[in-house]
Amino acid sequence: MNNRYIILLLVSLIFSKELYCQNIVSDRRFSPNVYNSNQIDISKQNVIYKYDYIENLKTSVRKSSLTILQIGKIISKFTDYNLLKKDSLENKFSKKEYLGAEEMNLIFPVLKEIGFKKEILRDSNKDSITFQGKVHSTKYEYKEKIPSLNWKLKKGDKVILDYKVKKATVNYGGRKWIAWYSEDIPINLGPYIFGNLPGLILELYDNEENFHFSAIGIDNKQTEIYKRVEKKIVRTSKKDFFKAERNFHEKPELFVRGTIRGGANFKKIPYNPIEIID
Amino acid sequence: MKSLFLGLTFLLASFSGTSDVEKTVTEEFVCSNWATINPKCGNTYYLCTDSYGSFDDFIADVSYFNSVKC
Repeated sequence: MNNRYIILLLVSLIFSKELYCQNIVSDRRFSPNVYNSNQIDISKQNVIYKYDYIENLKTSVRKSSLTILQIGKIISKFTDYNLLKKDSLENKFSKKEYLGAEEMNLIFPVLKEIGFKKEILRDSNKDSITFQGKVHSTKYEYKEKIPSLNWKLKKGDKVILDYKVKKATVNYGGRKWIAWYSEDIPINLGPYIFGNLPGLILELYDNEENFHFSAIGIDNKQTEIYKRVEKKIVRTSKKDFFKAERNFHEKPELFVRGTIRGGANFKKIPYNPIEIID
Repeated sequence: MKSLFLGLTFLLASFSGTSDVEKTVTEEFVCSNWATINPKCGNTYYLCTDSYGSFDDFIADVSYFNSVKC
């Protein structure tokens, strides 16, 4: 191909990318938020899972993101990889004089990639799980005991990431879950709240394939396991958290405070929660 | 006649099967700062930033409007 065509192709690619990128133009300046976090453990292993999920049951379009399980000595943390990136950006922003369009345009590409919107901290000493998650702009926290899952070990084996894995099933949160775990990695953890099997869960999905976690990498990097400490957090129950989440999806007009030029149609947001709670 | 028209509009909205609520900006609406939002899909819109006390509230609303617009 002629060099001129290659340059033209590159230029058009750059411009088409610019054209389709999220962009906010605004003179408004906001005061930065205070950022606080406590280091609660250090990971000895990290498992990266690809997370595929269906948000809208009407269209069944599959979305995906990357999630991470940080395994510490006592505490493990499961969250979206981009939620960690968002925290890192918010930490940087907290040191700025003001936040404006530049910061908005930095944070949006990260927010867009977040698929799994909760942070789950599992404390094996206290036998408890702490959940943190946002409903629109309000952050909530709730705690529960580590659930005792009644796994049924099934016949069948396969190989994931060169590890031989075995099959098990369980009913939890209104869904039937299928897990593939490896006894070669004697860690009783997995994605979301799942664990209590004789090995690390490397693949997990519900029988309707609404949610699917597949391990794509394991490393032994020591990374900080932290918990965000926020003044404005709402401490609630699991039932009330899911109720608030459902309310936001069904009646967003009660949560959104802004005004769009020309008026806005407040549309319902498709809701397909990982746990079905009445 | 006007009340009949309003009644019919209400009935139509009730039977439309959606819960869309129209929030109309009247001609008297005054905003000191409009932010221009160009989402990836190209449906540019303008959001009044006056009512936001924090960066997080603004970001949360833009995330919602982007999902509606795209």
